[in-house]
Amino acid sequence: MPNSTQTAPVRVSPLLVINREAIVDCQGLRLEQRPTLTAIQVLAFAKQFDGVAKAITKALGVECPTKPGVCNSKDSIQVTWTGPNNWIVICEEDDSLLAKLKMAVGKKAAVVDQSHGRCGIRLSGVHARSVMAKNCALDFHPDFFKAGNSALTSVAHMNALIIQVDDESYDLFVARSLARSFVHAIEHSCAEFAKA
Amino acid sequence: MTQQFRTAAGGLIDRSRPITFQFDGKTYQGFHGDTLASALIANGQHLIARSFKYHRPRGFMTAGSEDPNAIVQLRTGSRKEPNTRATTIELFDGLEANSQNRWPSLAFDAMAINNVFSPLLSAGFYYKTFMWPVSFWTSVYEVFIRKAAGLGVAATEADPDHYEQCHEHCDLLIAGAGPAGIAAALAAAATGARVVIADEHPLIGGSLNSERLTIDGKSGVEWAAEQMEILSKMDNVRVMTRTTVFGYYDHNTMAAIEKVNDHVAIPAAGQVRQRMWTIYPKRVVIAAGATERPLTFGNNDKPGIMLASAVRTYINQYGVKPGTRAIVTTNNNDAYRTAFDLHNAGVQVLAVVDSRPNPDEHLAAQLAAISIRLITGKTVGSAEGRQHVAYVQLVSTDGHTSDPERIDCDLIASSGGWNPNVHLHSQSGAKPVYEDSIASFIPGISRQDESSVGAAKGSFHLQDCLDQGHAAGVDAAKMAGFKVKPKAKKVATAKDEGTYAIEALWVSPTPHNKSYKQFIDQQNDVKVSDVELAAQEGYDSVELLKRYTTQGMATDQGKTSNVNALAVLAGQRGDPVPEVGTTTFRPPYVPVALGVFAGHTVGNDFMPIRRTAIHDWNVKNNAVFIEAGLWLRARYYPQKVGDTLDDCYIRETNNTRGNVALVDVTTLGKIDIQGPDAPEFLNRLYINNWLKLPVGRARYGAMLREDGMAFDDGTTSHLSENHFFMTTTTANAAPVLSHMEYYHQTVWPELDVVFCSVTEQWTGIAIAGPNSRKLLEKVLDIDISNEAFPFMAVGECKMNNITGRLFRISFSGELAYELNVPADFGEQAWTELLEAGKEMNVSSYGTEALGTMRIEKGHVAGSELDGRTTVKDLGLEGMANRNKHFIGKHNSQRPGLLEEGRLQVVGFKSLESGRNLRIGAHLVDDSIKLDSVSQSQGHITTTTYSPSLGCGIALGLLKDGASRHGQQIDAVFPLDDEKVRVEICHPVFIDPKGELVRA
Repeated sequence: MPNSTQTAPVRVSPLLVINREAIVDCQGLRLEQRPTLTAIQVLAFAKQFDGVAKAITKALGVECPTKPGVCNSKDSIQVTWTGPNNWIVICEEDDSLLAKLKMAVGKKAAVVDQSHGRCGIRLSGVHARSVMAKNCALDFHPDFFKAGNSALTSVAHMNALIIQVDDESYDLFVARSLARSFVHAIEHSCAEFAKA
Repeated sequence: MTQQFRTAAGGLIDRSRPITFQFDGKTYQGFHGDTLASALIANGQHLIARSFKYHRPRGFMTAGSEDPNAIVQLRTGSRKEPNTRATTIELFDGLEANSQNRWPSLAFDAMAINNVFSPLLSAGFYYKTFMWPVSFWTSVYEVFIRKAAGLGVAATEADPDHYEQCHEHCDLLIAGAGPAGIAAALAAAATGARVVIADEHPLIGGSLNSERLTIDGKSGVEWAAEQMEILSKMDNVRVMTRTTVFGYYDHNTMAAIEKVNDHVAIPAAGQVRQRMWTIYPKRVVIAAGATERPLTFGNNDKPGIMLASAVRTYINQYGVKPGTRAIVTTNNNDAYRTAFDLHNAGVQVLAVVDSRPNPDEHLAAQLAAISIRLITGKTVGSAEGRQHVAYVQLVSTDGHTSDPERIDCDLIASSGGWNPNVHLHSQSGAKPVYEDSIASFIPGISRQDESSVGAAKGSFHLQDCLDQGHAAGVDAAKMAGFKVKPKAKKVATAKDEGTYAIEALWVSPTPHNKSYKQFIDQQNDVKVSDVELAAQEGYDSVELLKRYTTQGMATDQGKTSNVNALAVLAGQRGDPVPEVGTTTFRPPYVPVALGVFAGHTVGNDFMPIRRTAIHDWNVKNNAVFIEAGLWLRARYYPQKVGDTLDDCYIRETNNTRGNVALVDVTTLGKIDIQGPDAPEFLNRLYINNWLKLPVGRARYGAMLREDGMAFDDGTTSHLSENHFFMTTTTANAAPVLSHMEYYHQTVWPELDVVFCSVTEQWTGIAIAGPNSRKLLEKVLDIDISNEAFPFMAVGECKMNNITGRLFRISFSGELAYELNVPADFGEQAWTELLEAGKEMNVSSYGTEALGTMRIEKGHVAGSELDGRTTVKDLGLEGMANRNKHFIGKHNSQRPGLLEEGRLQVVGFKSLESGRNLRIGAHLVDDSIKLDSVSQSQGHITTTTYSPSLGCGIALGLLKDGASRHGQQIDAVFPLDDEKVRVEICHPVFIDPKGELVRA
């Protein structure tokens, strides 16, 4: 058996992009990797939906959404409705979140760590909506999709979770394995704005 | 002497910005705002192409995207673009264009000999002429036809430009920004509705830019420019110029192509060349205008013969004179404008030839006032001249053709009437109907949320266009729930420009009733006589006619020829035109290059790539990759230059079987299953028993489809009370999850269980080989002795503070473990294992060695789980628990799935030294007599050379195979004339008792 003097492991992003350094940074458009994330999926057991939503709200201090297409956030925590009995809670790396949620929901829900399985990027700037329109068939007009709205849909032919952060910013979460292809595709559609 | 055919002033060209360009190697000058066509005409160059079949000289017939003749090869090198219409190419500096389908030159084309042999090339000639001998089909005829009937030549290099796709949503999409479209946009936009208005031209205005019309006291050009200004400043309006709405699909889904940078030589860095739009409007207003059709007379295809409206466009919009001595020939009032515009531009108008016996008195008086001769009751019977029209012969429309009048001229402006552009309407699923008063088709009853307005509806009066556009805009806004404010009710007022008054004339009599080539479809060289012949030969329905003569099947889709062809066919049948009907229009309205449909998804970007956390290590260590679905997996690891696939997988297999090695198994599907009913749910999914699996143990399971066929296999582990972890094959990761979702949501909603994919969360590493325990003992914090952690044990563990899960399962047949760690630690865990095992000579292995070992161990995989095999066929029926229900149980008992003679999994050993087997080889008793597939008794599904056995081995499916172990058979591969004698054996080649995995 090994001795136990090792150092804490370091999480390695699939994008190998240093946190906070932008992938695209030009007038009116910025594409950057989100800092290392904690992402926890909560799946309520039968008939426990309301109780679980209340428990999440109480534990996190963020109103847990009970309707499709909604993401409520506070500080760095984003709580998103992802299905009739499930949510995903995303925040900047916080090793205590899993235990906190497990404690909060008790036997009412399954709590599953997806932190390493999701990769987040943020697209922001006045051209962000145009870039979204190139990659996704949803209507991103502010009358229909605004800050606090979310969608699980196909972006650049890959499954993604979209969260609109503010008028000009979108967070996009994709499967870790697809992260590079995804960023590559989004980068392509930023090219027309990235004037030298 | 350049641009000698420019008007003194006027046009929407910028005379202060000259542009230099080349056509067929000769340098010309034009102006900014020109098309290639208008610039060539300004230089007196009318000969632009040779026709498709007869290689006749052709000029510009139109000034728009409907032109059948003016197709050229644009640009050179990798941007070479064949079959581009000169009438739509915006002139840019350095433009290079070349004519096509001619040899050696445009002016002297050797293939023009076809014109003489035209009787051999009649309708359907390729069905009649080139029949015998058969050996000539590909060696002579095809070569000849391809050479003779060529269009342009595509570039062979990759296209260096970028293309992309984009989506847009709106309340109203308006196709066409002429007066009707603009009026619709203004009315709808004023209510706050989201409006998209698209037009294929660089300027909005449509016909206003090519006519001399007046709206609200201003010139049409000025009015359009002002509205453009207003519309483009509105937040709720997107004005899309250079954008053609080309497709109308179900649910009001529209496709448009935006030619973002076709008007420059090379797009600026990062800019796209073309953009494909998918637009989802609540309502569509089709304001696509109308297309003029020519009169059909002898030699009506000569350069110098143009549509009357095109002549006006060249004069008014481009400031060029298409000739010096003109004849206007018409069957309606509209073409009189051409005479006035020509006169106004200083072109001599020799006569207006009106086929109607009683022309409009008012127009007659106007002509008389400027001394233009009006000839009534006559029409052009033929045009004469070599490479350009030199004179016409006029004949009476009453059939009196024996004393044709000759008039020398160099321009014929011809109008046979106007066809509303019903294409999008037809694409939407609706049926256009024939309208006698305009002798053409107009939109019929709408099938989707669309309406046509203005000329596209058959209303050629400017005020009607404005009124209809406005009304349609208001309606669309109301339907989308917007309130119409009173001020939005103001409609622009047009100056009256008279009536249209057409009297159809489909085919002109010929001088002396002689035989002339009277072209209907100029792009595919279809003549009146071809249509008549087709009808006589029985191809007398419109759909048959089209296919037999190819009329309307060229890149112009017969925009100028369809109605004329229908009318000639109707004449042949003796039916009125509406009885004949019209063909269905299909997208795209204009030719669209495939590149824009592909967008960015070309080359390596064709599909997204899934990479595991070990990917970068694999790249650094020279792994050769293989695609597994979207995943890239390491196939083998060359260690030195010259290492072959065989060298590598044999070495990797040997090190696993003899020592210890690692393989990346991240791609396996992983599903987290929780809930009080989780054991029951698993029990119904799998054929074997799951109710009593203790915590800390894994079990191998197989599942069936509803139809009783084997679906997938894998292990599921019991992690803690009511918490399970399932693995699936790489290929079935998503199908298994959706299979589970389907049954949980629709069949057993009462089961209290939840599950989700965690494939991405974990990196999976298999550590296999007799020394695998020794290696793991160095790095893990738990007791993994055989007593503490036996075969099929599962537990949490720590390695260097990385918390993971350890599974004692084996795919190789050796003592083996699978370690799962959170993916961001995946590479770290992998390298630490390799580091710890360095002194033991641990190595990595790829999917090739993985596959070899699974065959040696006789594990079935995707090649055997092919959707046609049952668990009995696979030798797994012993797992099935008959005392419970599971998905597919009932159907798996169908007689056909139980009877003798089914293909069953067996192993094969090559009996011929040094000869391996081939996947797909058929198994036959006596290969000497091999003459039909019915003799095949099965096939090889997967093969390898077995380092352990020292011979080629395989798994395969063989008729009644389970009872034939020990027999011999031939594995034949007739494509390569291969035959190998094999011994049939049990599919498990090594360690049949499973002692190694339990060691």
